[in-house]
Amino acid sequence: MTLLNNDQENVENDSAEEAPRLSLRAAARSGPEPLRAADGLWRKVGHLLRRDVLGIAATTYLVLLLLTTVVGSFVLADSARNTNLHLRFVPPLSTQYGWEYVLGSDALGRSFLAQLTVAARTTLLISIGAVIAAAVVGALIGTVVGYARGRLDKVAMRIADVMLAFPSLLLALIVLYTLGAGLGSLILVLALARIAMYTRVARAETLAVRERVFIRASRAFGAGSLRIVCTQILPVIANPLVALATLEFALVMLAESALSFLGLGVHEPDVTWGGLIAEGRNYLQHAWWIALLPGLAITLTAIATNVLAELVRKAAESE
Amino acid sequence: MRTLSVNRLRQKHPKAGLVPVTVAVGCVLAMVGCAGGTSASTSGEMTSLRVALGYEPMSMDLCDASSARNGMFMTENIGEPLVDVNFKTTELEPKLATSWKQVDPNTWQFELRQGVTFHNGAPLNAKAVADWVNRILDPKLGCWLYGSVLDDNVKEAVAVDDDTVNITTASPDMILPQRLAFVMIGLADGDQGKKTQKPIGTGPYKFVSYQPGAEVKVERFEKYWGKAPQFRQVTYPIRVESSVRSAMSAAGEVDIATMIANQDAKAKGAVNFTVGETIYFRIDVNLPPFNDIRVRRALSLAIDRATFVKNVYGGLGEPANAIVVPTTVGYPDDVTYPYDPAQAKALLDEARRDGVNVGAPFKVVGWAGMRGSNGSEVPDTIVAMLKEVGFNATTQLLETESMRNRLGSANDPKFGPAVVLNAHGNSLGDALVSLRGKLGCKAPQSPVCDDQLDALLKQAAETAGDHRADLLAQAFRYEHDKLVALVPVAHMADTMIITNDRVSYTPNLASSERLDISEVSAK
Amino acid sequence: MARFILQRLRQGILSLLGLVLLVFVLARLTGSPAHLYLPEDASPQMVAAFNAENGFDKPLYIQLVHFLAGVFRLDFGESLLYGDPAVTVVLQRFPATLQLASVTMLIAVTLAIVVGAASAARRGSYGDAATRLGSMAALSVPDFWIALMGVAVFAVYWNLLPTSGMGGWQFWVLPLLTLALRPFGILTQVVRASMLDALDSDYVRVAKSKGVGPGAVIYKHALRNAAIPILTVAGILAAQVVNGALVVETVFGWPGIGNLMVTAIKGRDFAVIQAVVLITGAAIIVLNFLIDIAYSWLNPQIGLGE
Repeated sequence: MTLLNNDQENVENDSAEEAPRLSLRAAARSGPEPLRAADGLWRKVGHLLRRDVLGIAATTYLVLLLLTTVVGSFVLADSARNTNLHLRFVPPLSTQYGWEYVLGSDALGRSFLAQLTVAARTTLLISIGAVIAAAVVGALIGTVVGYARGRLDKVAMRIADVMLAFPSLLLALIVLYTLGAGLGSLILVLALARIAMYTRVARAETLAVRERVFIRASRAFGAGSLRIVCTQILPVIANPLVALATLEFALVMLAESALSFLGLGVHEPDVTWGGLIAEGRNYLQHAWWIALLPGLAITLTAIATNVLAELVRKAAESE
Repeated sequence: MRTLSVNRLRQKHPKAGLVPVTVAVGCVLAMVGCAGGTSASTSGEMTSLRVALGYEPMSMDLCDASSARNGMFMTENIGEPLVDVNFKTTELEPKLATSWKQVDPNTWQFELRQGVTFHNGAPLNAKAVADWVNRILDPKLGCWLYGSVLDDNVKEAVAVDDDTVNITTASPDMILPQRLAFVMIGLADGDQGKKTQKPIGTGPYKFVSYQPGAEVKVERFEKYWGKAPQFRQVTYPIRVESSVRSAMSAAGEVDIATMIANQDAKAKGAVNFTVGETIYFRIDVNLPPFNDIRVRRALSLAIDRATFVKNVYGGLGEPANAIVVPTTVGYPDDVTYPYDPAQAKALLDEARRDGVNVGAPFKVVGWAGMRGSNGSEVPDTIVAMLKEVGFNATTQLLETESMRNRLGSANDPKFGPAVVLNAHGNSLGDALVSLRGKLGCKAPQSPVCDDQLDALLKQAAETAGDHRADLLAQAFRYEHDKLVALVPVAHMADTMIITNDRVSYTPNLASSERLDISEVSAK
Repeated sequence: MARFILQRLRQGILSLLGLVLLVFVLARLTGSPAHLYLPEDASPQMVAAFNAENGFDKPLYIQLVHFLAGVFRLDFGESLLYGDPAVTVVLQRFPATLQLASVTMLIAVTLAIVVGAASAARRGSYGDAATRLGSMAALSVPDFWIALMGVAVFAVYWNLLPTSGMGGWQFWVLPLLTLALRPFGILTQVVRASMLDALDSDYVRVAKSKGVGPGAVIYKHALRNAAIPILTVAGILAAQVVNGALVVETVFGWPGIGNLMVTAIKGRDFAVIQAVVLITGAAIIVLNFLIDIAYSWLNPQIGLGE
């Protein structure tokens, strides 16, 4: 719970905002032996996918999105930059001005398709960057304190409780005003807000495995703590962390868009979907597509990753 | 207020002199408001008016009334000045003072109107006015008027007798009455040292309530000395988001929505008007490559002002040849800033041959909150034009606080060579404050310190009449020929939406920072 | 019990103190807000006078000592933006957010229990699939975006509801629905998942075999058992509702603390920023404390404290 719980009880409450996480911990307790972990997980996900229409749709969407983003960033980079003041606010769904204008144009006459694509790249980079940063740092801290136990563990968990209980956007706003908005500070703030989540899960999983036979054996053979944490514990608890990270992706993307909306997103010339919505709200009555389309993109992407996250969780649990 | 300097950053609107009025009052109410079962003012009777404000007020103190944040509801409604500017003729007219004269070079004397009372029943007399002016001059109070309209050249106000006030200055100030047209008189009422929560003025409306983040309410002052206005009550919903304001007007929830961004300039009921505010950019003249005057000239020649106006302001503004509007005293009629990309390229080539690194990257800095622009539209457009002639420019958009710091750090190598976009309004209608504030040696924002220019300005400050105008125009010409530190781009436009067919209003140059309710009429 | 309360109190105060310290230092790192409160051409003397008047000219640690001394007297200093004491400013706005948040949570929890339980009871049906997809969509939509779209459609296009502001019931519809969407999506999933667990449990199977009707089984036995995870998530969601309020209040011009916070941060109104953080933090701590008590009441097996 919440703010100030102790020790093992925390494990019961990891769920925070996402329900599915509730049973994560079961996974690693009976978990796989070290080496099989990661690639087994994805094979399992693939297996589950075959029986899940929604999962297939979500995966297809995500693959297409990634392809479009990667290819589009090259093909459309120029269109995204080229302003054409004679083509301001071209409405979408017409190829009268060329295929780049199929989704209309913005206030400076840039192709909105190109804008969306370029924004997709920045949005995905920020979200993925923040998720990875938070996962790596959070997992390391969680594993170390879980393995070491004692005072350090208590203090770390207390801090994690506070971080999770306090509205993250409020702190993010303050930090961003201090640091100044920008790509780097945005990733930093988004990652900081979510580290505690990984710390909790990693610690709970570590507590569950630290007394397992092979780890005790390593200790007996004189392996150092760091070595044990890195080579034996982390691989075992990787699956639930991967499942958590997948789930966190949508959350981080939504947080990024909210910050952009409040005017604390990345700087020009970079732009994200959230930034496009913020810009589009000024044109709602004349150019509805500028706010509508990036919002749809965010929603669809979030749904797709959440669907995928559910599959990953199932796979992680059933291993 | 413009005024002086104007704070564009915070507020952004000036008004000023007049300007060739491009007021397109055309469409005023061509239409019937959109229905709206939710409108608070639906009854046919014209007892109340609703006006959407775009800013959270700075305070409820009349000593902040010169900022657009407060001026929109306070100026001429709650508080009134000693002297009024007629924005059609730019002439001064009596208001709370019936006459004024300069009794010695450093003293102006004002005769007060008889029979005026404050909203709490206290009479308007010389002591009240002197106390109020001296209160503004207290730097601890941090009044917006002090530093924007009045400065430390004003020494003090003294009550000579019951109806006569003297205001003294350290050095002669020929335009003190103009300045006082922006000072709304309130009642100091023993609150010295602290801003008040309940403004007491002499205007036709008295303050009723302020709910932060929600609304300000005023109601008719029944003992007003002048003509009673039509509306018994005025409510000002505060909606900081421009999209919310335009949605409110589209839904018919307000009678007037102020500060509407240009993309809604064609909305039903939209009235577009020119304001006395000019967008310009400042160059870091000491940093390479801008320390070469040819490079600075090329920056100016690369700007296609007509296209800028068309694209950014939807054709509502006007290309500018000075950082003040043409009705301002001292406007240089013979200075022009043409668009000539070929010449710009030639100058750059020449500089390049002389070893100047004209391809060095630099930032075009814009303010995120600039009125009438969306996001980075203004700097983006300038960058696009500079790139055309071969500059290596990129956009940088700053929030208010960083922008203010940036304006105060001209030529700071920490930020690299930059072109900083700003908007300037001069509502006083006299160019001296603009020149001093932007180019004077002592001005925090100035990128230059030039003895000859300063001498011209000093001379102008102590001169009145046509000669003053000549001296100021000379200063502009000098800047254009010798310094090229400030490059004017365009005079801006503003839009308000008069949603409802129940009321009519014709905006003037000052309408982006004040809305005199007595000029609004019910139909 | 007394020990538990004391321990919680101590921990709560420590966390709040840490939080406020962090915010204090972060806020001051941005320097004096003089530029925001003085005209563009203000002279250096005016800036100095402003800083002296507001204590910004003192070293950081002295400002901190003053601030902390004030906190214990419930004096957070004066708001630069509003001229009033910061506490007054924040408490003025608090009810608007509190009302919005509590009604939001009430709606979200009620709807989530009904929908989630119904969905669990009909596992595998089309209705269940629709609920899963719907709740997934609800927690995936950016709240400010749906708010903007709501205003565009219901207020501007159809003219059914007001665009913004606070007033009669019509003013509540859009902000409530927008804000409730995400908690509803999350809670529905929690309810469904824990109901499924509970339905599979031995005691529900036994109850069924004893002939207890299906309705009674679901709502009495299973729901009671599922209440703990629901409560846990609902408590944590409170922090999220504050996040939501930051953007939703901005879109709807709702005069609450979310709106105030955005204005205060943009205006570098340190006193108000600190007061908002402290008061919000305290409210969340109290809420979590109440939730802990509710736990032990729901399930005496979970002990309080250590």
